[in-house]
Amino acid sequence: MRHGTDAHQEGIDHVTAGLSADKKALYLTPGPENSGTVDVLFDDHRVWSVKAPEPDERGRVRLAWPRALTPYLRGEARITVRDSADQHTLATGHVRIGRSSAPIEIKDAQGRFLAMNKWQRLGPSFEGNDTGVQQRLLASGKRLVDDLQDLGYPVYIVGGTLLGAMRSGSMLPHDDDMDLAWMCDETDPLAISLASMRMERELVARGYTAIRLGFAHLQITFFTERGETDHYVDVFTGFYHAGLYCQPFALRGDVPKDELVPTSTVTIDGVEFPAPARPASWLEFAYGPNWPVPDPSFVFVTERGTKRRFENWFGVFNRGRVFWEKRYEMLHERVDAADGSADVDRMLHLLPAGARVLDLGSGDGRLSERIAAAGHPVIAADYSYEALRLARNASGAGAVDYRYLNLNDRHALLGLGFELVDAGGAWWVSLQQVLQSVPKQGRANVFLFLRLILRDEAFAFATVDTNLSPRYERGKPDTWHLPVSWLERESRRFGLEVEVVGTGRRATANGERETATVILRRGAGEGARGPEDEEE
Amino acid sequence: MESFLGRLLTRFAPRTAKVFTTLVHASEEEDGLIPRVLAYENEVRELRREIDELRKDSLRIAELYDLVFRRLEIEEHSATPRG
Repeated sequence: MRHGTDAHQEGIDHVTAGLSADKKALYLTPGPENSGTVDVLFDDHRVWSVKAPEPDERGRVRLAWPRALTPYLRGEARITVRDSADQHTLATGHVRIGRSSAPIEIKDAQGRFLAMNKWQRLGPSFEGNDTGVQQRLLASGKRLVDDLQDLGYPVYIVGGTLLGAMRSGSMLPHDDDMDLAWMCDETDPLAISLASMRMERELVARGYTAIRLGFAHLQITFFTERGETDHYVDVFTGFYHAGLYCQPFALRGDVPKDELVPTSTVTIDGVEFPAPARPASWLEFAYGPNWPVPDPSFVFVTERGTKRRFENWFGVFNRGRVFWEKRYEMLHERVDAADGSADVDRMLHLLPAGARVLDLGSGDGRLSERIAAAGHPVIAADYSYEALRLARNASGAGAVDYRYLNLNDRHALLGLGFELVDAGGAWWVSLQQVLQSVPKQGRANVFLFLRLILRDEAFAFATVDTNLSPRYERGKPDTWHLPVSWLERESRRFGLEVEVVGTGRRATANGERETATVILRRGAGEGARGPEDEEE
Repeated sequence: MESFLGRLLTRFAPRTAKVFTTLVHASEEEDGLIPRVLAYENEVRELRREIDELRKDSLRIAELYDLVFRRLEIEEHSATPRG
């Protein structure tokens, strides 16, 4: 660890604090005079904002690095700490964390600077992206708003978009998307879900890409010409239930309806957008009475009962998805690898000639194309658009039918089931390194789907990691595991039989993993047994 | 020894000592209090689970309702003669 105050070198004469850092925390001596919010900048790019805690007995303030940031903290950087309110520099200095002298770069694969957001995640923000994304987002958002209004949805900007509009008439520099809500007149969760499904279909029919994150939350995604995710707009469903305004997935509280609709108009960088009838009401409801004062360290905390209510009413489909998007986003093109090929070859030996195969969780498509190359018609599905981009770009024309499908979304999975059953005949299913990396509810959806579509001699062929990764992390689905006994117990409830056809080991970035290869067949019973969330 | 520890606790951690004293008396006087609290806790947990299940049922019905009616619409359109 190296530290110092180099204010004089930089000609900054008002810096008063010393600064040092290690892999666990950043230290200021003495700490800021008032315990407000401070911005932490790496090489002049804001990365993190945090409320400064009280100094210890030595007058030192310790700012523990957020977990999401720590993987990047190896090497050298010039760190500056400034007061968020007035941008006054409190401390600045060059630090080295660990032994490396390489520059610390907190960027994504596309070279965009990353910053901690209000969900305690690291993501790109407007202030670190000079590619014109803010203008593209405004244009896309405006077009989407016009279309939604044309379709009859009373839509209004909310969240950081409304906050930026009201504070400065522009987007917040540390924001990364646009937030919209619409007022749904339904009060029953069932009817609200149906309304959101209808909206999704109508937007898709107008050419939009809609990612469903729950039955009250759509994410409209816009891509670059190369097919990479460029920006997105969240569309939340607002409604009243038991007298309270609800806006899944985070907000539920007391806002009079006439303060939301009919909508008013605000301007963002010269572009007009619909806003709640009284914008300050929505902002106070979401951010509290201090909403006019900038606080980049603001963290959204949703009350537990609200979270349970919304998750059970509308589902949660995003678990693990962002992890895979980020993983594949780092690659500009598919990397050749042999991982999983032996398992697929073993499956190919068991398939009848020309058997139709559905490859669920197809990732970059390497294995789907291996199946297709053996003479099988293949539908390959994944819930990462970045993975689908790699697969489509590398794939020969028409070799594989690539599709977006989220296994956490039972409605979408059953929709595909209808289509396959409708097509007639048997479908075989490949699940390579998939089942252990989806939540239990997602696996239940897959087992229900298999129960419905497996016909005659058809089976599902799956390989899973069965042992706990030495580097297990809850937020990293590639470190999850699924012992065969769990697989048997969970799938049995859906009338499926499991046959273990092989075990092995594989070396991964997360340590050596034990694997099991299994065949799942439809059993002789009538179907699903027992409640779905048994043994949660 | 017990009395010595009690005096020590009262001197150095008076609030903790008071809590301990209250708890000791409560368990002597209300012999069934703790089992009752545990039973209530279990009941609350069970009720919460039942509410969750009912809410999930609403989602399940919405999914199936949409799939079935979409299917019927598609069939109706495909059955309509083109003119």
